[in-house]
Amino acid sequence: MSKLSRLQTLAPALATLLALSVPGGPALAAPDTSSWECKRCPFEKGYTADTEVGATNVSDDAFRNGNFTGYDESGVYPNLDGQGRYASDGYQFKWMAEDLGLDSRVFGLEGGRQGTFGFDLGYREIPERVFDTTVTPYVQSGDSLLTLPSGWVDAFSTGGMTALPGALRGQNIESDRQILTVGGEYLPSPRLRLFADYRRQEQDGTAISTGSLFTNAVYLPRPFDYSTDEVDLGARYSLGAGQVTLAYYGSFFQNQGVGLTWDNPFTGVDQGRNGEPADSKFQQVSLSASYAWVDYATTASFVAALGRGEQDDYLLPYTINGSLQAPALPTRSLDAEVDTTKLGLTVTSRPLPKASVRFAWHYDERDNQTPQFTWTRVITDLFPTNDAETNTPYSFERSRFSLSGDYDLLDSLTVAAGVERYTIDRTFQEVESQDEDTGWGKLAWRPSGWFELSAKGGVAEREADGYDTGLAASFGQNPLLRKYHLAYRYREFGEVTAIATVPEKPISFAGTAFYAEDSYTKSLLGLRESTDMRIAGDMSWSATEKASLYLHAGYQEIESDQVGSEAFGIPDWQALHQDEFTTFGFGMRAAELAENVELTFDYSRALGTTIISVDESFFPDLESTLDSVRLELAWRSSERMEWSAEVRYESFSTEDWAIAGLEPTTLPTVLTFGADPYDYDVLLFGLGFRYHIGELEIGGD
Amino acid sequence: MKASILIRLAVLGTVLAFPSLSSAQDEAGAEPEYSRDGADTCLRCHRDQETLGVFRTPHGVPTDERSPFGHNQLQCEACHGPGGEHTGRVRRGDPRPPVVYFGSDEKAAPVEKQNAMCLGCHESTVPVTWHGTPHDANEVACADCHSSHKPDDPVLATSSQAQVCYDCHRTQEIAAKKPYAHPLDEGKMDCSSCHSPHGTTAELQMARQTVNDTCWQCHAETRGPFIWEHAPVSEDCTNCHEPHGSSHPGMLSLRGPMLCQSCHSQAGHPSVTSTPDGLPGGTPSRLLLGQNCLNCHTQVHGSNHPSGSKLMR
Repeated sequence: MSKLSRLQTLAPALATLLALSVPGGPALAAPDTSSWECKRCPFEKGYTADTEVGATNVSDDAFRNGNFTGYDESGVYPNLDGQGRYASDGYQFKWMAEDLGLDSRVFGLEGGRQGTFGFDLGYREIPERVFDTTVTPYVQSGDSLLTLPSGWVDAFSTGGMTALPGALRGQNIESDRQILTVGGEYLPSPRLRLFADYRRQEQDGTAISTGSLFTNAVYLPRPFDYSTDEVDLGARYSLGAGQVTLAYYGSFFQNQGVGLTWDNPFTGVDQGRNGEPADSKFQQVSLSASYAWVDYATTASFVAALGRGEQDDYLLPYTINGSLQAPALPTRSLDAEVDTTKLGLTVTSRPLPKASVRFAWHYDERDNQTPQFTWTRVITDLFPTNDAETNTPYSFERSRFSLSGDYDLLDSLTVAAGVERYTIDRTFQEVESQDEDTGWGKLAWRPSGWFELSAKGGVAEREADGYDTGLAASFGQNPLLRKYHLAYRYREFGEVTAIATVPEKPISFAGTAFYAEDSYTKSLLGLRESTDMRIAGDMSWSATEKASLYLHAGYQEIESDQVGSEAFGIPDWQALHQDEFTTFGFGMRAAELAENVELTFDYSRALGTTIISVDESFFPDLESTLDSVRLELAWRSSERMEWSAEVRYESFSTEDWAIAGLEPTTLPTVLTFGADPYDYDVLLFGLGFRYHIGELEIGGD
Repeated sequence: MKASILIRLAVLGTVLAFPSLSSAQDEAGAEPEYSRDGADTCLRCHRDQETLGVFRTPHGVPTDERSPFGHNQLQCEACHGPGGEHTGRVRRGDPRPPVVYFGSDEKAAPVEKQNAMCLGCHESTVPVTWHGTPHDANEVACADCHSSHKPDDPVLATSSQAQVCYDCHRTQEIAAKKPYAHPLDEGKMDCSSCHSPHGTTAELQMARQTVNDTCWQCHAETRGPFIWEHAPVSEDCTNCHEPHGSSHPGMLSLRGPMLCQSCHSQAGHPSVTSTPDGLPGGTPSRLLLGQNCLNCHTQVHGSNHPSGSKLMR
C-alpha cells in the first residue's frame, strides 16, 4: 500500500487528536455531604468463604462427555470448589476454585487496594476429548516421529497390509489446554491507569493429521505441543470528558516441532514428512482516544493500531527422501513479515432530543511484506518437479463506512435507518476490488412498559470489479466458478424481536425470528444461493418469590445450493445442503421446596439433522441428538452447612456417514483411523458438602 | 477532592449531553434535592440482603475516593439520583416519588437515564466507544447485563456470563448447543473472550482489532504468515467456520467436500461429483469419507513446508 494511501487514512486520526484539545463542559454545584456519616453502611471487613467438597460418580466411559468437562471415564471424581474474600482497611482479596478434581479445573486469585492498585492470577484447564475409538498402527516416538512396528508389511493398498490387524492399537484424539494469566493495574492518580496482563496458553495432545503420498494417504496421530505467550501493556489517561489509551499487545507462538516424519505404510518410499505450524509472533501498538462534547451531545472515538506479524522458522528441505534430486532451497527461512494497520473513527451525536445519528469508519490493512521466492516442489516426497512456483503473499485493504440514525416518531415508536459501504482490495486473487452496499430500516414500538416489538430489514449488494478468469485459469480453476466470498451477492435480511410481560404478573415472554437469503446470481459454478432462518423464544414465570419456571425453544435452518462441473465445463451436478437444528428445554427452581431445601431441575434436548442431496440422490441424514437432565437438591442443615445431591443424565448420539463403517482398510488408498460416531448414555451422581466461614449475613455480626 | 469534582463534572456532563434528561428538572424549575443523611436515610428502609450486597462490590468501597461510598461521594444517590423527594414526607395514599430504578421492568427509569447515571462515573473505564455500539443503539441498559448489588456479578464470571448474554442473543444460544461449539455452555469460555460488549473500534465488537486477530489469541498455530497461504484463511476465519457453533466437525459452515467445492473447481478430483455411491457398501470414496479433501490436503490453514504449495505437506 502506498505512503499516500497511509497518509490519507491517518488524516482522520490527526483530526481527532486535534479535537481532543476542545475544552469540556461547565461545573455543577454538589450537595453538602459533610454530615453523611454512613453509620448504617455494612462495609466489608474480615474473611468469608464457602468451601465445597464432594464426589461425583460417572456411570460409564463416555469420552465425548469429557469434552470440556473432564468427566470422560467411569469412576469417582473428587470435587473441590469454593470461593472466599477478605477485606480490611481498603485492601481486598478474593479467591475462587472450580472443579479442582477434574481436568477442567479453574483457580483464580485477585486482590489489591481499589483505586490504587490491583492484581489477578488465574489458572484454567480445558480438556478437549474428540475420539477414543480411533486406532492406528503408528507409535509416537518423541514429538516429531511416527514409526510403524517392526514386521510391518508394505502393500500397494490397505487391504494388502497383512501386519495391520495385529499392529492396530487404540489412540485417543485429545488435548489439554492450560491457561495461566497474571495481571495487574496501578493508578498513580485518579486520571491515570497503568495496566499489564500476561497470558500463557499451553496445549498438548494428539490431533488428526494425514500424510499424502500422491495417490495414497495415511491418517497420522500427530503429537503436538504448542505454547502461546500474550502480553498486554498500556496506560489510559482520562481527561474528564475524554480519554486516551496507549497500548501494546504481543503474541508469541511456539511449536516444539518443525516437521513430523512418518513411516510410509504403502509400498514405495520409506518415509514422508509434513511441515508443522511455524513459530510466529505478532506485536501491535495502538493509540485510542475518545472525547465527549457535552454541550453538543456528541462523542467521538478513534483508534490507530499498527502491528507486525513475523515468522522466520527454520525450513525443512524439499523432501526427506535423500535419493531424490532436489535443488537447494532458495532460503533457509522465510523471514516472513506482515504489517497491519487498523484505523477506526466513530462519531455519535444527538442533535435533537428525539434524534440520534451514528457514523463509523473502519480501515484494516494487511500488508504482506513476505519476500517471494521461486520454489521447486517435490510432490509428496515422491516426485521432483522442475516447475517453478512462487509463493503469493496475500495482502488486502478493507474499509467500512456506516451512517445510521434514529428518531422517536412517537413516545412509543422509534424509527431507524442506516446505510453502509464496505470495500476490499486484494492482491493475488481473482477479484482485486470488491464493494458492498447495505441499507436497512428498523421500527421499535414500545406501547407500554410490558411490551416491545422491533422489526429490522434490509438489503445488501456486493459487486466485484470483474473476476480475473486468467488468474483463475493459472490455478487450474474452471472459468465459470465464482468463489463465494469473491462473488457477486445480493442479500436480503430481516429480524423481528418481541418481548412481553403479562401486566401485574411475573410472567415474561421473548422471541426472535431472523431470516437472511443470499443469492449469487452471477455465479454459474459454485455457491448459488443460501438461506438462514432462526426462530427462538423463551418464557419465564416467577410463580412466587422463591419459585420460578422457564421454557425455551429454538429452531435454525440453513440451506445452500451449489453447482459444479465434473466435466470441467458447464454445470453438470448440483448439491443441496440443509442443516436443521432444534433445541428446547424447561426447568424450574424452588428455593423453599421444604424448610431449608432447594430444588433445581433442568431438561434440554438438541436435535440436529443435515440433509444432503447431490443430483437428487440423497445421502443418509447426518443426525445428532443430545438429551440432558439435571436435578439438584440442596439442604441447609444449619446456617453454615449445606448438603447437596446432584443427578445428571446425558445421552448423545450421532449418525455420520463420513465415519460410520469406515474401518482402517475400507478405503484401499487411505489408511484411516476407523473412528465411530458418538453414542453414549451416562449418569452422573454427585454428593457435596458446603461449609461457610465468616459472617453469615451482610451487615450481620 | 479533585476526583469528586471530576466525577460530579462527569455526571453533569452526561446529563447535559442528553437534553431530555434535564427537561424534567427544567419543568420543575428547581434542582432536585438530595436526602438528608445520604445512605443512612436509605438504609432505614432498604436493609434486605440483596440491597446490602452492594457493600461487597466495588461500588461499596469507602477507601476508594472514586467509589459511590468514597469520601464525600453521593453514596446511594450517586447511582439512584437525588432522593430528597423519595425520602421526604408523602401524603397518605400517595405513591412515594421514585428514584432512578435500574432494570427493564415497568418501574425502571428510561434506559437513557439509567445509562447516563452509570456512565457519569464509568465514562473513564467504559470506553467512549460504547456510544454507537449495537448495545447502545438498541437501548440496552447497563443493568440489563450487570447486577451492581450482587457481590459476584454473573456477567463478570466465565462460568455464568454466557447465560446473561443469551437473554437477548437467543440465536447464539441455539448455535452454542450444536454438537461442535466453543465451550460456552460448559462455562469454560465466555463471550467476552471474543467480544467487547462495551464497544471497541473493531468490527463486530471483537476483542481484538479483527476477527482473525481474535481467533489467533487461542489458535495461533494457524496464524503464520506461511510460505503457502490459503487466501480465505488470511482474510477471515469465518469464510469457512461458524464460531458460534455448527453441526459439522471443526465448526465448519458446510460439510465437506461441498464446502471446499464451493471454491475449488479444478479439472479432476476437485470437481468430482460425490454421491451416496461413495459410501461404505458402495464404492467407498476417498474424496467423500473421513476427512474428505483433508485426507490429503491436511494443511488447510497454510503450510510452511517448501513443497507444501498444495497444502499437503
